Formats: sequence, C-alpha cells, structure tokens
Amino acid sequence: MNAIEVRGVSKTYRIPHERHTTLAERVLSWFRPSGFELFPALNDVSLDVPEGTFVGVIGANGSGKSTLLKLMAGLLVPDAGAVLVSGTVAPLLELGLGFHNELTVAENISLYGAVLGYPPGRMAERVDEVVAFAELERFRDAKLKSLSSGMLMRLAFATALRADADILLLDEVLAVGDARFQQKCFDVFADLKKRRRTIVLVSHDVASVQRFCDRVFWIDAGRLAMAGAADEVVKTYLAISRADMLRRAAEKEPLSKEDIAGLEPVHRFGDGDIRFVEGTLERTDGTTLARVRAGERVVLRLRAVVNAVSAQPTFGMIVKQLGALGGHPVYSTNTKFLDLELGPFAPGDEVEVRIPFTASLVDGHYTVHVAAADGHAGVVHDWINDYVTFSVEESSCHEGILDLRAEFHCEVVRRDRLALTGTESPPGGTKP
Amino acid sequence: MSTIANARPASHTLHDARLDRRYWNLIVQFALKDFKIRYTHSVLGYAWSVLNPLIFAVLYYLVFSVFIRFNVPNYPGYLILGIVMWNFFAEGTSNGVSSLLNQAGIVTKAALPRQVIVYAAVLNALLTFAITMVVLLVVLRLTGTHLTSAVLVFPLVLLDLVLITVGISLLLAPLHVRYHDIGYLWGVALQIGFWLTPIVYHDLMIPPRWHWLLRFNPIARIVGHSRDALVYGTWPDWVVLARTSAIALALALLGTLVFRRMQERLVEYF
Repeated sequence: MNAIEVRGVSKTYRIPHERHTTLAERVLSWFRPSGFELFPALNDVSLDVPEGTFVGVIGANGSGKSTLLKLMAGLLVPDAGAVLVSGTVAPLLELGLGFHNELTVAENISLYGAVLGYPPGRMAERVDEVVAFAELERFRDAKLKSLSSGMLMRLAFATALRADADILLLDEVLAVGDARFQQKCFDVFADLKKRRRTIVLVSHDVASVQRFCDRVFWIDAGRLAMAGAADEVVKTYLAISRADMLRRAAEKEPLSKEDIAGLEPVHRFGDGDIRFVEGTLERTDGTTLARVRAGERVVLRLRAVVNAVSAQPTFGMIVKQLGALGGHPVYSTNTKFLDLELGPFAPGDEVEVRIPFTASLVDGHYTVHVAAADGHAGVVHDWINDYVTFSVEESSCHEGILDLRAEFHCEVVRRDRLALTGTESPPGGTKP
Repeated sequence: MSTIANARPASHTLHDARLDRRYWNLIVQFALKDFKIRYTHSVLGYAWSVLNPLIFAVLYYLVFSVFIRFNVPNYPGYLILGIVMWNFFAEGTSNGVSSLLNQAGIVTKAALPRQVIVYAAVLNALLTFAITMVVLLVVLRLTGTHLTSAVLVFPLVLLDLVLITVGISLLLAPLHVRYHDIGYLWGVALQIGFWLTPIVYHDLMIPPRWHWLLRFNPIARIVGHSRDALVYGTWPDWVVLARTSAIALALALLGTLVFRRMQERLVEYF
C-alpha cells in the first residue's frame, strides 16, 4: 500500500523579469507585455512512497526536490499530473519553523503542537513528553532566546517527531545533537516505522539519508534520475556529483590535492591490506603538474603502504574524461592485464608505483581512479575514485576523443609552367 | 491505477474552505502568540492597548470639545467609542492584509488552510479590542451614561464589523503578497478613512450633499449603530441595520471568494 503516489507530475514556475532600474523604465514596462521566464522545476515525475517507509529525496540545489516535497504537502498544485496521499500529513516542512524567541519553551511547544495537530485536549501531556525527550526540563519556562542552538535543534526535532500524522514530510532536518541524541532520534524513527508511519526526508546530507532511509529518490534537473535502495542510489549520486563538481572546479583552475580533499568524501573502498597514501602526476623530471600539454609524456606516481601479505598484488588505473554524467573512461589498464609480476610485498613495506604514460588526449579535464587488488584472490585492497585530476591543453584535435598528433605536410609536386608566372619561390609548407 | 486507500489530492487540506475544530484551536493559538509577543520588552505591556486609544481620546477631546467646541451630546463617550471601533477596524485590517506576508515562513512551509493566518491576525486585533472595551465601559460609566437594553444590538454590530474586517483582509492579503504596494495603499486608505468617518466629528456637521458618503461607508454605519446601542441607548432602525449587515456579508463573501481563488498559487507569489 502506498502512502503517497506521484503520477506524472510537472510543475513550472513563472519567473517574472524584473529589470526596472529607473522609474521611467518601470512606467514604460506597464505598457509592454510583461515578460517572464518559465522554469520547469519538475518534469513528468512519477513515484510511489509505500506506507511505513522512510524515504529520502536527494539531488543538487535547484533540482526540484523541495518542489516535490511541497507538492506532497499540497502547498503547491501540480500543473500536470496528480499527487495523491492517504492518511494525515504533518504540515510542517521545516523544523522549528516559526519558533519564537520571546516565548518560553513550553509555549513554543504548544503553539507548534497546534500547528502539527496535537490533540488540544492532551496538549499539556504532550508538552511534558516533548520537554523530556528534548532533555530541556530545566528550561521548560525559559524564553527560547536563552537556549543554545543545539538545544533549539533538539527541541524542534522533539516537537516534530511527536506529530500524530501518518505522513511526516521533512526538509533538511537530520543529524541534530550529539551522537547520543542522534541515536535517540534513530530509535524514534525505528518506532515510527514500526507504527507504519511514513517519512519523506529531503536532504543534502546524503550520509544521513543513507543511514536512515530505506529508499531514496534522486531528482536531477526536475526528473527522477534514480530510485532504489538507499546505499545504491547514494553511492551513484556521490560518484556522479563528485565527478561533476571536479569538472566544474577544474574549469577554473587545476585542482590541488587540498581542493579535492575538501570536496565530497572520496568514493573509496577495499580491505586495506594495501593502502594508497599518495598520488601525484609528474613530468618525467619529477616536478608535479596539473596542466598537461597534449601528447606530453607524464608519470603517475603512487605510493602505497602494505599492511598484510597479498599473494598477487596488482595495481590498476582508469582515466576518465569528466563530463556531465560521470564521464567517459578513456583508458584503463592494470598490471595483471600487462602480465607484470609484482611483489611479493611484506607487511610494513612502502611501495612506489610509477606509471609513465603519454597524454594523447583532447583538451579537457580528466580524473584518474586507482586501485590495488589481489589478482589471484580477486579482492580489492584499495580503490579510490578521482584520486588524481589533471587537465589537457593545446591538443591538435578539432573534434574527437584522442589526440593522434596529426600533421599536414603539403607541397606542389607538379606544375604547368604557364599557369603561374611571377611566383618563383618554391611553394609548399607544413602545418602541424 | 492508484493503489491508495482513501486517495485524495495532496492539496486537499489547504483548499478545503471548511475549518474543523483543530484549526479553530490553531487560530486562537496564533492570535495569542502575537498578543503575548507584542508587548515583550515593554514596561507597561498590555496597558498600552488601553493607553493608546485613551491618549488619543483625550487629545481629540481637548481639540474638538475644549478648543473647537463641538456641541455633541456625551462627546467623551461618543468620541472614545468611535476611536475604539475604528482602531479595531484599522488594526484588524492592517494585521490581516499583511498577515500572509508577515508569516511567509508558515505560509510557504506549513500545509495549513491559509485563512487560518488571516483569521488569527483579525482575532489578535479583537483581543486588543476586548481589553479596550472594558475601559470604554468604565469611561461611559464615569461620564454618566447608563446602558439600556439596546446594548443587546451591539454584538450584532460587532459581528458586522468583524465580517467587514475579515472580508477586506481576505481580499487584500493574497494581493499584498504579490504587490507590496497594497500595504502602503491600505495604510493611506486608513488615514483617509479615519477622517471620512464621523469619529471625532458628528454626522450632522457634514453638509447634506455629502451624506451619501456616509451611507456608503460601512464603518461610518457601524460606528453609528454602535453609538446608538452603547452611548445613546436607542434601538436601531432595523432596515438600516439590515443593510449594514448585508454590506458586511457581501464584503466577507467577496473576500472569501477571492481568497479561495488566489490561494492555489499563493506560494508562488512570494
């Protein structure tokens, strides 16, 4: 049974053009047809939220996920399609919305309890429960402004979770409080699920989404990009949005290691028997570089530490060109494929792997995934996406995928003497 | 094919014009909140609700009864009742008209019937009105006015005033979200309205050819009815009162219809 069904829903916003700078322009604009831009926020989205599930909605800023939530809440009416709900919907999309600093904790709870539909007859009882859950007994009659921000979040969370509604819609509300309080919230979620409550959470915090949600919908540019189990969707989303981010960042300037570290968590996995500790792209003379001239010979230098014996250590690399969705692999190879016998390595060893290659690539931004595995047992010791990035410039390629370093050699090999007069110098030339 | 039991469109709650008990509770809660918050950081607190109309009543009394010498029977009672009634209308409509914009967070992020916000804003003004009414009755008593059974008409007059206030608020609040000019315009309209309504002066001071202005001014009619009921203790001309009620109902209906039409896309106007 579904708690919410979204059927072919589209929603387009009209964004009026406002570029009046002077009064005269403004007055003139009254006589012109007013211009506006159409912004399609959601485009033919269909999805089901089964009853009793905790569902996450992720996506980049402006992808339409909040619009989806507002449609579910009924705050917006779809232009096309239908949003159907079964059961009562808690009406607050944002935690602590409208909490007022000048009111006491208890007053705020009863006010927002009223918004959330706490039964009026049992309000006092509910207020006590919420105060206890938020662990704010000592602050019950203190004005809200005297609370710390952590206390505020706890209070907001506790208030929202006490709603009687069958369906909770939440916008950006996870990960509040310390680890212990988070655990408490987690217990409440589990309890809500047991009682067949349905929760829809929109969040940027993909780690929390992954932790709490059963199913995840990924909205991209107003369309449902992916739906499925939380782990699967979140991993794909992270890998792709990270690649996308790298590409955009690299367009401005080559990324340093620190830049990369500061982005989303690296998609990395493996048993850790061998672990990469360093990866750089260098010229053949050993100086590091991030911008590579097309066709230049460069060296990918990796350092790894060995933590356990690996029977048949194997190293590999994948070079991808960064593109809109995940990028295209342009080259991959590994030591097993090349029939290179490595090792054996002993625990405690530090290994340096040098991989010289020719960057016969077209202009663009590239990222290198690296891997250490055991070719015999088939286990991955360490796999890191986007470990090294670089850009390629000065390629001779007009359109295509590789820089084949074409040169054009052209000369006249036969000429009728009468056709041209006065050009005594030998014609011809080369243009690489 | 829907597999939902009791499926209904998500927007159902917001666009359902009927309010159940839960929402009435919410209206009261919202109104009380604003009422509690209003006088924080003030020493005199709720006393300001009373002091404000009193000060103006004294001022107008000085100007129009002592300096200019209007000859209106029971002028203090006449004056203060007019001010209190007008103040409710002015406060109620300015609260109401700006309520949706002021509560943007609630309106755009909480799925409640939006008229709740407007009603709460008007109710908030009504609470202030209730306090000032108490003082008003004391003043009437002190100035030697005795209430007659005609006071029974007053609740009906007050109901008409509330209907007008709600009607105008419902009409203008969604427009205000879209065009902020409405707020400024309404402020000006209230200033003009105050002087076009016989609050400090008497109906009879107006030249007869301007009397139509009063007939079409619902607040002038209401203020007149309320003076009959409280200050002069006379029963109203029922036909005139019925017309006033008709105007009030018409305004409330118009407001409700416009509000219902506009609220569907309301969130997009912010």
